[in-house]
Amino acid sequence: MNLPHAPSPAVAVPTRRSPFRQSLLVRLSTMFALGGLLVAAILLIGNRVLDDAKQRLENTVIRQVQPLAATHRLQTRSNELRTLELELPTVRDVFALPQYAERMQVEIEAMTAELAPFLAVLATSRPDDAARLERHWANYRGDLQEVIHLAGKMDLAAAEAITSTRTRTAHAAISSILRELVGATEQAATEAYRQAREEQQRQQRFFLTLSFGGFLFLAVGLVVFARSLSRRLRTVRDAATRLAAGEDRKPIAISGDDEISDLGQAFNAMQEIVVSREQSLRAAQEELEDRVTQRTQALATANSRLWMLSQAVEQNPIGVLIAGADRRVEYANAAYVRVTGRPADTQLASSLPEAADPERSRDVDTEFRAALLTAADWDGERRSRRPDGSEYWEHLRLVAMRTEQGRPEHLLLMREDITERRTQEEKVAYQAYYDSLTALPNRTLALDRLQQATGRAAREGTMCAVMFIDLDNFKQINDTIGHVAGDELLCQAAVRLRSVIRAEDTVARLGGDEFLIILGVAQANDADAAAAKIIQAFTPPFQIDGREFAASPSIGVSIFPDDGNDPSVLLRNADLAMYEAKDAGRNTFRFFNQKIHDDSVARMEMERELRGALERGELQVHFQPLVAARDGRLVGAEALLRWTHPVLGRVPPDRFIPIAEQSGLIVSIGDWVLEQACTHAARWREACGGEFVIAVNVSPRQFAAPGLVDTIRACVERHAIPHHQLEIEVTEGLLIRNPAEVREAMLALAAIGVTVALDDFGTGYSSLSYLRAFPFHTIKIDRSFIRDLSEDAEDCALVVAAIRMARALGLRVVAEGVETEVQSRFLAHQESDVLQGYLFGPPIPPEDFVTDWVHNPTRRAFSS
Amino acid sequence: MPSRRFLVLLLATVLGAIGALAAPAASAGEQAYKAVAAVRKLIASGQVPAGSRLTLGFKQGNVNAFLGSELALQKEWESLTGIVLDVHIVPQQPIRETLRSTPDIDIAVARNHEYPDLLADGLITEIGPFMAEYGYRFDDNTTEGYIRPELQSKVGERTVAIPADGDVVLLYLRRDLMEDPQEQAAFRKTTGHALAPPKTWTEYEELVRFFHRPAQGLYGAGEERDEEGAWMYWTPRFLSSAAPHAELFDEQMRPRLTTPGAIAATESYLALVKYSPPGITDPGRNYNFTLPLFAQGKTFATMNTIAAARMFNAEGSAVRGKFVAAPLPGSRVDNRIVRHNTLIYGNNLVIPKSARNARLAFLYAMWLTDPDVSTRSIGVAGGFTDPYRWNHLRDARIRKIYTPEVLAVFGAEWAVTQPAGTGLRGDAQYLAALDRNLTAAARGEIGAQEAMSRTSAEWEQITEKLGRAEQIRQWAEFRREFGNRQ
Repeated sequence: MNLPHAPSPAVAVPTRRSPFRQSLLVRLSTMFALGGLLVAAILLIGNRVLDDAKQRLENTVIRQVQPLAATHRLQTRSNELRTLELELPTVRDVFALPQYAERMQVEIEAMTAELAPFLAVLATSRPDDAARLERHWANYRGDLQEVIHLAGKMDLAAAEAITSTRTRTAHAAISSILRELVGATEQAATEAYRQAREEQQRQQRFFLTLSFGGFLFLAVGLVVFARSLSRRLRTVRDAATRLAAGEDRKPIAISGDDEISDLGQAFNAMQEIVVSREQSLRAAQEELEDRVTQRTQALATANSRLWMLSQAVEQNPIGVLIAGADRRVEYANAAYVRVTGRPADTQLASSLPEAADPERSRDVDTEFRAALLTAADWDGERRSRRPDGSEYWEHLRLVAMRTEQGRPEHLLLMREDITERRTQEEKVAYQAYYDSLTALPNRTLALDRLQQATGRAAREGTMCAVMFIDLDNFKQINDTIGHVAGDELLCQAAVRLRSVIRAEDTVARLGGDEFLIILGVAQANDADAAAAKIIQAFTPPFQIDGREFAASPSIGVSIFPDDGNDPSVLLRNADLAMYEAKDAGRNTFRFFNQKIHDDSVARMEMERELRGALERGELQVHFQPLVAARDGRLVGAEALLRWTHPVLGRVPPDRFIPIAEQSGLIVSIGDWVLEQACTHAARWREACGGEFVIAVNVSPRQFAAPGLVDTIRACVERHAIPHHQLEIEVTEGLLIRNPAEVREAMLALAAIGVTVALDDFGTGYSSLSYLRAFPFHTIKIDRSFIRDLSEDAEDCALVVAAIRMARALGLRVVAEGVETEVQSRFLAHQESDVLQGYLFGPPIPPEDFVTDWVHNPTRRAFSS
Repeated sequence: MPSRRFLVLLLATVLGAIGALAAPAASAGEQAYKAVAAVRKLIASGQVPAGSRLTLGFKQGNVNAFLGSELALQKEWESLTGIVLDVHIVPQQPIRETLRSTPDIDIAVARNHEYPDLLADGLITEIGPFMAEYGYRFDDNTTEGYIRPELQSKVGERTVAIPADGDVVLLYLRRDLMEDPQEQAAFRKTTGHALAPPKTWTEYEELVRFFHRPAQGLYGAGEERDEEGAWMYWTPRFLSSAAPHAELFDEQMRPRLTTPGAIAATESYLALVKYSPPGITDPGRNYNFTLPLFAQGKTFATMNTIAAARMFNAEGSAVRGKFVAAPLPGSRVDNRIVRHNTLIYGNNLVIPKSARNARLAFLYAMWLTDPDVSTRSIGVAGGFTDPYRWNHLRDARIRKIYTPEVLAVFGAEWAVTQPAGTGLRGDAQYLAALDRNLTAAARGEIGAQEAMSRTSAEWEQITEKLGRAEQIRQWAEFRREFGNRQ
């Protein structure tokens, strides 16, 4: 082995350096610093000189351009005004006149604002011109104001007379002064600009001369220095060339005391070392060639054995992979590549392909890796994904091949494609848990998921929300367009529901048009946002067979654990809340709360009580007087239902009538009210001079029940109620639900002489279309508008508009809730027909009504 | 320490976010907000490049109405959406001619009666699909909905226009003369009954006759009798000549112009000529002739849209505070008075079939006709469109411009208003024939009976030329859509 070459004594001895040594770094730095300073000084002086010249030129230009620009603006404005006043008399459409007048006024104000500062400046240099300009503008402005006034009067001939004479002179005078000012300003500007330009050229010449001298000095210095360096470096280069070519290897002569002389000494030392190392390298090369020959022979033998083993398993249909104890893959047969769809991995640890469902494969993968780590035998099944995206089920078996001492030496991994068998098994399971129409989880799976969700929420201390969804118009759409299209609507609804919730949440179809959503939430407010998104998703109409259908959802929400721990309780409470949403007008959502539960119980109790109320004589009909707005005379009464319960006392109508409506009891109760009202009206009619209108409220449920028109007809005939003396009152909600059927029923009522009134007008949609489309005889303006008549101008305008509209359509107007004489007088003045309210009297029992009103029909509210 | 560039970016982001959140809510209602959000979404998704140009084809005078006073609405829209509005002033001619000759307009203004022809010629786009896509509908609730939107937006069952004007006919009378005790006494002495706004066309003629005093420079009637638009002043008379309302054709498209009611309506139309200023039947004597006369106090009565009230109530008008608007008169049929009004002009918005940015044009129109935005466009002096939403009638600025009394009459007239024109393909031809013959009669060249007979014959020819079967179908669809309450 060669030892590192020892430097010769001549080389190893350090050369003593002069204390005043001028190194290359110092010389170059000094030279560049001087050059830099020179350039910087030239640039600084030049920049300052040019800046000064530029600034002087700019100032000269600005001083002259500003007045020119101001004069130009004034001339433009003046011309604009002239154009407008000339165009105005030629306007072909009188409706465009106000626009012209408005534009002229704006321009006049703008011109005045622009002129004021201009005149102030001008007065300092040219006072006579300023005075003349101000005088002419005052004249012109006066003429323009007169033109604007004539435009308001639409007297275009008079306007033209002014624009063709007076304003032309005034405008010409203004233009003439402005032109003179422009001319004078331009002359002064030209002279000033010429002087500034000459000064700038002088400065430029000085700068160029200075720059040229400086750069010449710098160039001479650089050339002298470069020639000195080049000569000494060429000496070293020539010696190096000789060394490489193996020619003369004498040391080079060294001169000077800087880095280049250091380089010469180092080169001489290096030349000596290179000669010595050439001899050592030749001996080492011969030894290395012998060793390579021996190793190549040993490797060939090992490769031959490995090839024989791999052939033994090559034909196996099951994928086989063999790895060493270090988990490095040593072999994989062709079947392994077929099964996995990819080349074998280099490491056994990474031989698990991408899982089709990582969540479900997590346990299997963990077991596999554990077995791999401990070199234990293991087998299992998982769903995997090939690189081309296809998925398959596979059976994996891991076997450790051990030495006689039990030490694992190799690991054998076998993989078998079992997709066909697993597909059959999954198909059977899917049919048991999913809805075949929408592919959503069915009730069974939904309840299972709910159980899991509540269990998870309980463990983690979080919440979950249950949403019960019912489509509002589904039955109607299904009946209208058939079951096939109805199924299509359900499918589209399922897609929309799925689209608005997260992937980890559950949407299920419970059956019919009922859906269930299970959401994991951090707080109850999260469910609020989700419900709003669902309603938003149902806003666009559904496209089915080229037609559009609107189907909105009603959503009930219950929260675990606040509204129950048991899935069945949560489901029931969400269902109850859904009915609250339906009651609230549909297309909305409601949260379950204790009040809903209590209300539900209370409603059921009240419904039970209400069922026997009629038979027990607890229901009464009260009557509220309707008086003529013109003279306060009694013209009829509205029949109003009242319930006095032996325990609950007097039950407000807004509590029990909705229950009667929901339970269907309203049909029999309504018939009884109608009978009572007609019975009394028939008795009172004679006492009132034969003219007595009895108004009876009819609910949507009564309209939906068959035979309403027949019942009313029989009642009218039985009590001989004359034409137009029975008025049925309906609310707007009725019209929206089944417009065609309701219109038909109303026409049938009109045919038998029964009139129909639109109750609570103004509170709902209040559409003029409804008033035109349905054969109403009367509108009743809601009490909420009458109440604020004296305070709210908008209510006033609404009431007046409603009365005018009704008048135009030939409808009778009844104002409800009249409580003051001011309201009464206002409504009479606006030609309302009939008034109703506490000013005249509250609803009272029939016997009191007889005493107070029937026996005294001409009594005046104002004198009572 | 963060770099200056980072700070500038942060500041710009914060200001942008504040602007995006605050700007729409501060200046417009939900309808406008939805439109702006939809435009921003189109830009964000790359469907519409930022800074795209929307070309508006408006007639001179419409600019203030659709871009706001001093272009305030244009600047607001451009600042909210980044979509540039490019206004092209189009000639004063039927919009059909304009759309045929100018293909690059994205939104234009059309009159109600023009829709059927525009649709039949394939010149305008149906906007129903856009309405459904963006969840819009022409709400007609009395709080802030459109007033009778079906009259101004549809052809049959198809939605083709966005209402942006409200041109029903109003009758204007001189209040100062009506309330003068001496005039009242003289009128009672002459006619035997009180001086009051007319309920029937006969009473109207009587009133006009009474105040016709050419020697004093006062003419009884200032109603237009120009050939272009003669149908506008004939139609209310015709519609009210039968109950529930007269119809132009029977079910087989045979004209119903020679009935006694139609002849009486035509005679009522012609009767006013003799109480009108000289030259009333000369060509071109339209409202540019009649309105100045009323505004200068030279006529007792005139008829026009509510826009006339804006002019009469302006500074400089001689009748400011001295006029009253009255409901149109009607006819006595079966012992009750039948009254009908009709839409006449109407500056409503349509999207040409050739529009390059139809979707943007639709969203701009919905933004412009939003309850709040539209109130700002109408509530300015010098505006060119009139109220068409219920909330307009309650706005303080608009009430000052038109007067509350005129707005109350205007609001009520919509209840008895019928669609404009015939509602049929070929509307321009039908109306041109009617206009020509009515004008010949007004000039005394033929009588009322002859005018209606000639119009009837010409209408038959037009129907045959256009195809009777298709016209019958369209007429049936029109009646189904706008069937009056019985």
